[in-house]
Amino acid sequence: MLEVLERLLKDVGGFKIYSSTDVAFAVADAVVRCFSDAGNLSEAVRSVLALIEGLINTRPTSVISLNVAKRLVERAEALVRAGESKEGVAKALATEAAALKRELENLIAVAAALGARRVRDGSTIMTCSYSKSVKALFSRLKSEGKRVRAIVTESRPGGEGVAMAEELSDLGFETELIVDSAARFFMKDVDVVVVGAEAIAANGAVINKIGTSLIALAAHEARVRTFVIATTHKFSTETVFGELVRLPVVEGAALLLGLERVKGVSAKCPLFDVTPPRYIDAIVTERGVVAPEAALLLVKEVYGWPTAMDAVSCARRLVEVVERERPG
Amino acid sequence: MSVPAEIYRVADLIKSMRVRGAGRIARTAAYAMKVAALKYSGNDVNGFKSYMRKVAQVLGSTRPTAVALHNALRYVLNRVERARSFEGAVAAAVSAADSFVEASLNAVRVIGEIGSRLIEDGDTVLTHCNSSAALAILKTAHGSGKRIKVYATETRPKFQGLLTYRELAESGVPVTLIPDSAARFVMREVDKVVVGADTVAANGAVINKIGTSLIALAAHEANTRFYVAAETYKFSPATILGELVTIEERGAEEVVPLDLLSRHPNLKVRNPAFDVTPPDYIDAIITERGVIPPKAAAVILLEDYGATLAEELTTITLDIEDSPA
Repeated sequence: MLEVLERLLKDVGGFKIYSSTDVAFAVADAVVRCFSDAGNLSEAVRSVLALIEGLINTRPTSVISLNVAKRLVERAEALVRAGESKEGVAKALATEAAALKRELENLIAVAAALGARRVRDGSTIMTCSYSKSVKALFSRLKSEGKRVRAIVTESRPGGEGVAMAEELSDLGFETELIVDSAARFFMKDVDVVVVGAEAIAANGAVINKIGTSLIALAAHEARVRTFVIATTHKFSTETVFGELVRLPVVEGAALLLGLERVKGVSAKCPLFDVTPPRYIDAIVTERGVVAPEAALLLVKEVYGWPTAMDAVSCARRLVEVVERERPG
Repeated sequence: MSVPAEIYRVADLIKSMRVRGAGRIARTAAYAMKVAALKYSGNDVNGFKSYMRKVAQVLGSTRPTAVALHNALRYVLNRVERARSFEGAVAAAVSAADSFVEASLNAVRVIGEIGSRLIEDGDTVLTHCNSSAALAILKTAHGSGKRIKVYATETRPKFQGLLTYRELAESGVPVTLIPDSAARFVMREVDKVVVGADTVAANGAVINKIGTSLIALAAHEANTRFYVAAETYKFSPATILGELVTIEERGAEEVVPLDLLSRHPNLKVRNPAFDVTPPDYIDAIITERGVIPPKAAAVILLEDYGATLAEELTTITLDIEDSPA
């Protein structure tokens, strides 16, 4: 596999890239690099397949990354079939990737605008982990002149909530950073919980950073509303067919304790958890604010019914097309 | 005579959390009272009593909300106050401190014994922070041949979970460390939760390390038994007279480096050391006097402090009667 891919997967697995949207952006760039760096077309498409398989192993929950990869792979297939050269494909995909990123940013901004309507001036919002969509919501609130206070959990393992808290405070919001354990302690001060999502299953269950379901549970207990802000790219079509979302668990203590303290400690570090739909008041998407149970309707609208092929199958087909049409 | 330097050193150990865990803090403070009594250089009983009150004040101010610590100091001080002669007062301090430490250690052993009966062969138990009483239960259960597995939360911000991990691992108990945020994730594999307590209030609410109430909530949701192991000197007599338990908030530096905060003027850290678990989420409190339902906490308090409480109630009643209508 190309060195660039190995580095990407390491950064994703080790939580150096937090936000699932940022992972998707990095994957888009990596797909383009597969074509620009490879010696020939056959090598390029094989590394694309390896990238997608590697991604599924390291971060199987990242539905948006797979959707982005899939779209680029489908575009590449059309170009190859049209007789485009490796350089031509690379160039066209670079343009496509840039357009895709802009499109995603715009969709996030639309979802953020809808979500902002659900937040009253003077509210206290609790959030966790690092989410581009949640940050977009705060930016929107700022442009609307709403003054809100943020409470952010540090979100271990990974601790990316610290970066989230820094950025929200730099937007000008009063921000309080707390340990994950303190979510229930502060829930009485919270008006609304807003979190992002790694993926959303067909039944409306939300897969997000470990600890999200605990916060949603504490909010539910305190009758505080929980909103999930996520574009429809995060809806998992595979769960429609009964496929479970596989949650990666890191064995070993390195991620938890840092390398210096890890000696001989056995640890279990799940990276994501599942928040059941009953603890979620609404999912805010670019197509509207819906009950989690209505996620299925959006899946149908966006991806068609029955849903199309998954990313790995698309990449395999691309490899076949290249080998058939450009042998050697 | 002023308070000896050793006492300030002990106070510092408690304050900086190098000595931690409510029971350990209480025993350390009782022992420090004994050391202070033996170091007193004068020979008049009243001077000694006021000196001991000053020592207790220095030790007590380290963790103003730790009930066990204050109960330990009161236990020694009450016996000193009752003495008539100087020699009698010193002897009372020494024997009270010794008997508190002995009773405390004994309580932990008895809790271990009683609590281990609630643990079944094959159980997976989750624990939080680093409680000597909870650990006594797990080690006794393991020692009696029950095959148990333990999940220990890392317990941010100070990672006391690592101490629990090491202590259980050394005793041969299979233990796995998890991040605090994973408590609900693992709860479906957990048969019982066993935690310690910092303070037990009169209504059965348990004040313990931050995160305990979140774990209790997750256990409640999953129908998992939730037990609190607490020596009876952790029960707070003041709460029966309506006093609230203050939750200590500690420094930001325990959570993030302070220079991070100085770079972001709008960013603050909130670091409460404890939270309150409502009695509804607690199946039982395991004490050295037996297993009690949390809402029966007042029974223990009235047994131990009935006379003092009655006196204080009388004072309150008289105050009300004296005040102009």
